[in-house]
Amino acid sequence: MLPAICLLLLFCPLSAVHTNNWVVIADASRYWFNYRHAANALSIYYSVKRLGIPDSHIILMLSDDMACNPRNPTSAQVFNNRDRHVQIYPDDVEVDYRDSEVTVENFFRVLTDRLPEGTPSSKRLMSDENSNILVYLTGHGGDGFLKFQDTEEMNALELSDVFQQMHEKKRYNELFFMIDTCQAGSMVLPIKSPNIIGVGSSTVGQDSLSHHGDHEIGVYVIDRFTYFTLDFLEKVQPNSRATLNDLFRVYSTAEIRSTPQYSNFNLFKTRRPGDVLITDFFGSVRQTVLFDEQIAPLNRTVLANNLNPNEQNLDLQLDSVPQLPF
Amino acid sequence: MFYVTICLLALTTRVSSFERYSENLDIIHLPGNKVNTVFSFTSVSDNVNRQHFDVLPRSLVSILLNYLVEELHLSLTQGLWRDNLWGYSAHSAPPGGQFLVWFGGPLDTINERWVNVRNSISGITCASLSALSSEDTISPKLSLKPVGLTSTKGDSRYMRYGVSPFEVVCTENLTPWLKLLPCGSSAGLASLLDASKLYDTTYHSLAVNVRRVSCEGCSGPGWEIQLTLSLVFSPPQLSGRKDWSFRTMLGKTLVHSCPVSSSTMVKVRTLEPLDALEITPTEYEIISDREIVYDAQNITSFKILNVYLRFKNKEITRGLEEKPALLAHTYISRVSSSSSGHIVSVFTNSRDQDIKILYLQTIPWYLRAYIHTMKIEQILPESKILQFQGMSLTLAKDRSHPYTLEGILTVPADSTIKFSIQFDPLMLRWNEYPPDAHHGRSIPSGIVTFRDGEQVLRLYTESPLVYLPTPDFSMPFNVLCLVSTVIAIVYGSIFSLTTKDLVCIKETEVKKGLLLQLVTAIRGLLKKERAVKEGEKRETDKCTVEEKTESKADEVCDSESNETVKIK
Amino acid sequence: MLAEFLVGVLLRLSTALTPISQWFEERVEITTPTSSWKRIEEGIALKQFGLDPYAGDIVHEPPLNIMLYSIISSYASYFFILMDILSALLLKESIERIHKNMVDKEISQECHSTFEKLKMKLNERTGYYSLLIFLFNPYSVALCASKSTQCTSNLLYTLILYGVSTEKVVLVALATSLATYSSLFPVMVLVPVLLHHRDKALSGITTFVVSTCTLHYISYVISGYSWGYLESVYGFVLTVPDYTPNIGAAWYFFSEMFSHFTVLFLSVYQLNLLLYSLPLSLKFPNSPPLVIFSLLMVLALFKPYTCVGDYVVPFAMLPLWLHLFKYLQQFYIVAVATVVLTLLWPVLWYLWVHCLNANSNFYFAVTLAFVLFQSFLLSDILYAKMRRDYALKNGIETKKIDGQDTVVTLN
Repeated sequence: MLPAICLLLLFCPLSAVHTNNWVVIADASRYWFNYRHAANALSIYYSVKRLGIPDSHIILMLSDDMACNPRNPTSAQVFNNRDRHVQIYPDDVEVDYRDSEVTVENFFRVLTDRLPEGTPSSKRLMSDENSNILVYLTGHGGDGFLKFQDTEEMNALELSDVFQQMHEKKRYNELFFMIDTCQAGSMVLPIKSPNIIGVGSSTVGQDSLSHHGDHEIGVYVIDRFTYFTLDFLEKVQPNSRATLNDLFRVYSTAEIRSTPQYSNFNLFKTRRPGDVLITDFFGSVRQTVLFDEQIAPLNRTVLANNLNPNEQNLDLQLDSVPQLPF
Repeated sequence: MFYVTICLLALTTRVSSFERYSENLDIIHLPGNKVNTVFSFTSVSDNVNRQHFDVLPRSLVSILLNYLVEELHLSLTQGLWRDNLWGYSAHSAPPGGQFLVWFGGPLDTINERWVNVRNSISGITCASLSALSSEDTISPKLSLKPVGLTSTKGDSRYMRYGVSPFEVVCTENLTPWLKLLPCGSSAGLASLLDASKLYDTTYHSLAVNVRRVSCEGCSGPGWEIQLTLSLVFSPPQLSGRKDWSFRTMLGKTLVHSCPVSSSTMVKVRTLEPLDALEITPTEYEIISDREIVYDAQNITSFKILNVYLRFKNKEITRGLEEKPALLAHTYISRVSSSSSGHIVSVFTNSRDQDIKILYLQTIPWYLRAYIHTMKIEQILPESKILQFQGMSLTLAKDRSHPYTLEGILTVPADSTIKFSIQFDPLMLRWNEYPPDAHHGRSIPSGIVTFRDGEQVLRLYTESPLVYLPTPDFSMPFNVLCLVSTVIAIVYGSIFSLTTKDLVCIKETEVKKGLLLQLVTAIRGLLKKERAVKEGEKRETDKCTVEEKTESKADEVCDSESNETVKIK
Repeated sequence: MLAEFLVGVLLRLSTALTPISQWFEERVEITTPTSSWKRIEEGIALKQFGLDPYAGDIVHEPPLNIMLYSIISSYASYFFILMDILSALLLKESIERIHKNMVDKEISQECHSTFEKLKMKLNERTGYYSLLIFLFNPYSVALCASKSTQCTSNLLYTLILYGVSTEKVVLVALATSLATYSSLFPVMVLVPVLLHHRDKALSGITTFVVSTCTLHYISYVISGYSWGYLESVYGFVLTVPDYTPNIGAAWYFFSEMFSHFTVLFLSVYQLNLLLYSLPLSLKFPNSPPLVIFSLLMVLALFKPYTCVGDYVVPFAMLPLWLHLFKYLQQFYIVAVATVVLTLLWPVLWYLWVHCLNANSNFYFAVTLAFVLFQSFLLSDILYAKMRRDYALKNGIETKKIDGQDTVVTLN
């Protein structure tokens, strides 16, 4: 018997009651010259992993493969900075939806959990009413839409409807929606569901600009809005008390060269952005509680002895078959 | 601590189930200064329907049991294996993703189980196999028979096979694949894998192969799960030397072997005889004059295994000792003035005996293939027409399943034969094209199965790219409006002709169209009367019927007198 | 006359037996999924392999046609040339007779006093002009060279005309049922004929129904007691699943359709095609040839898989209405447009499919324009007929009402 058993608890004393964190990150652009959108998405992925959210709670959707793209001079590596001090495509990356699987329909199905039976759990957003969800979208957009894969569009009204469905199905406790595209504000403004804070990188009529490029890779590697977000997040540790207001303060129009558009803060019923910790959405703080006394293990006879109790019998005659008919 | 726990678990394994795990690394020199490293991790077990596993990956086994799978083969490959330069690969695979499953159980649930298996496997390997749809799935009758033991006697109705040639293979496929290993990437041969080196290779192929085997120590037929990774490196040549080591080629060295592995062998096969090389560490066993093997678990002199091979002389490395018996290539040939093309496969036999082959070609349904244009001919050394000795054909149904062509051919000794079939690319609906429609689509590679000595080999040909003519994706609404307008114009004119009669009314009561009124008003303001009349006359070409009637009625030709009689 | 036939035959032989026939066979303007010879060959080969030709989506001809073509397959070019010659002969005979009937009927009508200036004169060369147009129309030569089964359909259309000219309703019904068996839509041609010969209508309908049933029963038997061919032959034309470009407007229309509305637009489209038979027959009850011409033109314009061969018979019927030409208003533009667009088709196709410079919109534009201009031809001819009838009844001179000038308008 082991004397000390660690129980894992998700416990956050000050905030509203959320017990788990989920993240949905989608890069909606295809083609090599949209490298920066994949870098944006991967940077957020890297940050949330660093702050403690496990892969099983992250759904990463990348429309195109940048790391193993034949045009990538740094094979299997993606950088979001010219200095290349951080490689954001680590060895343990897990991309759940890739290539042609990233469609508006699949994105909505993931959010509302209306997926076909048989979808593996790594591709499902299995959140409940105590989940805090971070949704991050990046790509090319316009007034009222976001372009997916250069062939279809996600409408802002559809997105706000999907959030409303999530609210009605009690799929989130609080939701933080970030979007880095041109005219991103048009995607944020129609949101009308409670407990959602949204921030878009630019208002309607403005373009979101990219930050800088890498001459060897040959493309722009990060967008301004995400660059400053990351700059802020790099200073955040898992036990940080930084709030959303601190994050929003970083978005100065002079620096990101566009005016961020925020959603209606009155929708966020429980508290103000000044009371919301960054780690409520970007991190998954787990406090461990050590017990001294012994705890009896689960009664083993409750579990089935077999992995698949329905498996029929195995007295089937198994034979080998000739490989060729001649 | 971690290893102690694993060892304890290994020791306390229940005796009633048998599990064995072994690791192998084969390093094979290829001509052209390339090195083929093949990692294979094999687990064998008997009854897998239990809750606790020591070495088998539970996530994979639960999928196998849930969907009554008897054999499964998945491969994700980037690059093409060059048979003509490198010989045959031990683990051949077509470019892209390939997924083959033999099912047991009832026949009527297979389609549903196929979809579920695909989704589940794509979840545990991060591959986008769920994009592989039933439109790309085939069940060939003669080829792809199970390599293990099955209960279905090779009945092709229980098998499903699909290929997605554009599948991308990257770090996100390696990560979950490593999670299927008992020691993960922290110990054993898998600790030699570094993503940034792996994806810089000429060829890499990740595979998961599951089959039923009979094993000693098992009660009944057991399960064998083999995970292989085949890579073709071009090791960096430092100061022009072709030496390589684990550190220069893979970037890592072997520090810990996996404690649950019953054997960890590193085999090196060279093109040069061993006396022309210097290989360190020297604790190897010589198998032949070009092959050595290390037992990595028993190396005592070094804690770290870094195989280092040095060439004593700067010799030119030799080519293959023996040319491969059969080579197969597939390509598309197209005449520029027509939209149809030919899929052509060329088979070359370099032995002095005839080789009988089984050839499988899948043609997607959106390329209409014409069976009557199928032609097999010998092109070298002389031209002659040949025939299939046996054939199985499944016709494609639009939006349902592809063509499956299987044929048994004999390639005569020392000759080259060519198989060709004509196809017509179809135009699809605007929303049926993949996101990057102008890239074109790939034809799945052809599979050639033949016997070489004792073994049965499978070759995969290239996956040629076809460009399909695309409609303009930005135009649906415009097109509908334009066509509807034309139909409305036709309908409108015939409607007015059939429902109205010609009558005589006063000129002043003629109702002019709104456009004509506006135009005449404007012109009346701007121009002189004569010009107005001419303007009106020109307008009559597009406007109302009556104006034209009036002008024509002015000049009626009398057929008898041939003079124009002005009536008005 | 023999000389013209010989020249026509030589022209067809020289195109059909030389490599240029290969080029014609691949042109989408000339061959369609329902009339392509390559698909017939495919059907024959599949039958030889023991497979059901209708299992795939290649063959769209009914079983009896496949059987016929498999018998003549080695002499296909000669067979189609023979079909063309037969059609030409039948056409000439029918046109002559129809023209004579039209002239006789007009003389026996009561007309206005100015009739003398306006009446039709018997022109013995009408049949000859028709023959010339049929034999030397580049569309018909190309059709023959490409071995398109539209040649057989054209023969059936001329047989229908022959039946109309000799007033044999049974023959018309028989020919219509054969034509409908191949491509479903020619059934509309029965409507004007039956309405005109009301006394023989019953025998016409019975012949049609009996022959259609026989044909389908025999097909059922020879395709192994299965009705599978119905979906491939008729379902194909009704549901239009194939978006191969052709010279109509339907291909792009259905390929760019929103899937939600497919059924609606399909039904409206097919209805539009079948709609014109009754109204036109009621409007022109005394001239079935004119209505048949209109219906054949409508078929050529709106059939889902249309080709240039559909226009061959209607163009060849135009000499019947030479007397209407002075009332035509758009003939010049239609003629010019026809020539220009015909020359543009292969150019824009090449630019789209081979050079990858242009895109599908260019090709779509010319095919849509072609449909539009041919529809002008149709409405023009109908208008001219109405105008001339009005002039026959009311005279050529325009009268004055209350001292004011008058015009003739549609109202």
